[in-house]
Amino acid sequence: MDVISALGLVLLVLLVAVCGKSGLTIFFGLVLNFVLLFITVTLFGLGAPPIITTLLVSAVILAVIVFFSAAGNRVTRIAYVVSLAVMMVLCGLAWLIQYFANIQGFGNEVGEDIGGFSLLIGVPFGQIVVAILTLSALGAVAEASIAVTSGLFEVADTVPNITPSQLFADGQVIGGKIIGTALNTLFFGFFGSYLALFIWFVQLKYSPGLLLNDKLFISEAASVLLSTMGVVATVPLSTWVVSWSLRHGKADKKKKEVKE
Amino acid sequence: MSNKRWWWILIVILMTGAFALLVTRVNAGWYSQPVGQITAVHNGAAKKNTDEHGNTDMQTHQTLTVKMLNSAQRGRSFTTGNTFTRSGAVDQPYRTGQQVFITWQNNTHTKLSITNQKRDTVIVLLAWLVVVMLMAILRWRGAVAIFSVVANVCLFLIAIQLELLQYGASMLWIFAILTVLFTIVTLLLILGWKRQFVVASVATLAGTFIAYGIFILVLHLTGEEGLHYEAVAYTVQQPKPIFWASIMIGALGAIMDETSDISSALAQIVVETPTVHRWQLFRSGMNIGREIVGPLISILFMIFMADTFPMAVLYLDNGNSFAQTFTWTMYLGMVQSLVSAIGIVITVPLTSILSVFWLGGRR
Repeated sequence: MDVISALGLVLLVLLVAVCGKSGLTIFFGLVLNFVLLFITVTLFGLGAPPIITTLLVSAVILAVIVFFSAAGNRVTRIAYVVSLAVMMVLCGLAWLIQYFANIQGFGNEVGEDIGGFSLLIGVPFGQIVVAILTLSALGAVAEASIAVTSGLFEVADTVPNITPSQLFADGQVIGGKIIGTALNTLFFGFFGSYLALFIWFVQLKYSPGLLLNDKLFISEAASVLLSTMGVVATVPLSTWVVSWSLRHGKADKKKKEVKE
Repeated sequence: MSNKRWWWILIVILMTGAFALLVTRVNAGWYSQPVGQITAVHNGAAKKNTDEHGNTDMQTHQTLTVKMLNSAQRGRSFTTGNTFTRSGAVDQPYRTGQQVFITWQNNTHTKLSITNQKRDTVIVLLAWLVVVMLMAILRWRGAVAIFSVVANVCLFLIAIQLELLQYGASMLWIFAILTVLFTIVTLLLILGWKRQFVVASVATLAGTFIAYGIFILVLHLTGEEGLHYEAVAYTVQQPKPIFWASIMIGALGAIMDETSDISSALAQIVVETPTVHRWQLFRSGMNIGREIVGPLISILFMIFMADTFPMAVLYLDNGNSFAQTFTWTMYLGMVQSLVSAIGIVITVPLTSILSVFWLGGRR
């Protein structure tokens, strides 16, 4: 048995032990998302337009993350709509970043690793950057929107006649906590992902001037910053949609009562 | 009055942004490397290129006029060339208005070539935008969040410096200590000096190191089958300890997210209903944990996997099989995702049980 199968098995056992049946769903969702990502890379290699492919795949990946989570129905529906909207805005921003910074493909640091490869493969690496920036933020955006939405519904349940301004104040408190911890999740995730690269930068004594113009460093930094923006933007947007749906829900109920 | 104040704040924010934009456009003098701005571009005809794997690409040569912005040649214009491909794996087309770093091709400084684009404007503006968004939505909490990140970056840099002094010999010990420091600093900033801080810290460290232990155990039992440390990119030293250290810290943030969530929610329950039974407290902790496990795993999974895309595409289009591509580009990211996921799952019962012992509740 290889390392991945063994770790996968351990994860499956633990998930079922801790989460019961929903553990199976989570595991299945993870496998599904992996398959989706692999198909995406294959499509890129075959010459599919990366940005359009990414937008379509992201919509499916978000659905898997949100609807396979243990959150309730009214939470997941709003969380999905919010994270879909945020994802599209992030994709646009990612395109702008790539347009101005040209961070596509491989930096000078990659050196011999790509020495034996043909680089003239006709795949637009500039669009792949947009894909990477968008995809790396997906998990964080989905998590934030689920957390804010379910937190707000909890508040709305305990305080039935909550006013929109009160809900926004609560949204800010709940959102503040979520953004604070989500920033740490992102920060350590990216540090874990790029540890070798950071050691490289320090060991070869990159000056701040060199670092702030380096293709690779900029693309990693842009990834962290864009994901952070996604999480931050999710908070007011989720609050707004929840408050809208609460008002609408009430209006519908009143209408029904009047009819009856 | 408050309306007027908002206008002032808005003006100050926009001014700082405009200032950052302006400064990074005229700061060529700060760099010791010669910097120029592209003032004219003339593109040649695109040439078709087919490689040995049947991939077709277009190659274009462009003639560029570069006006120097610093050095003794400041103000003078030079002509140079650049070749770019449609795919742009290691090259790029240049446009007028872009600023570039150059190197002189001869000692008399009459011929130059472009080495790199100047990208500081983009990253500074992006950082500015993030800070503005954080402060606008979170006010002082945003400042605390930024401070927490800055503190951790400093710790991280100190650790790497220390590690380099030792020539990578005691890397894992340094990162183990770093993990403890990261946890204490971050959770103290999130939770403050309270009981739940102790619960969250102990649970975070236990979850992180148990997951790490499981990883090492699995490596021994499987004989590291399928794992190729040579695939770790950008290594200037032994790749194995670097990968192990990245396994240790990768999930730390997600696990802290979890432990602070669960422990503060349970502390709230104990305050609101002091008569709550311990067993019930444990079950509440497990319920909260179950809800956040899935999305948290996804966050790290997407970060670790999306990063592998350019290399994976390059492998696929250079005639490698799916299996080879997966092994050499995605395997390590997948291992990191799985170990992180194990840590995230195992932390749920750990935090719940520690809360029961230290936060109280009826026996």
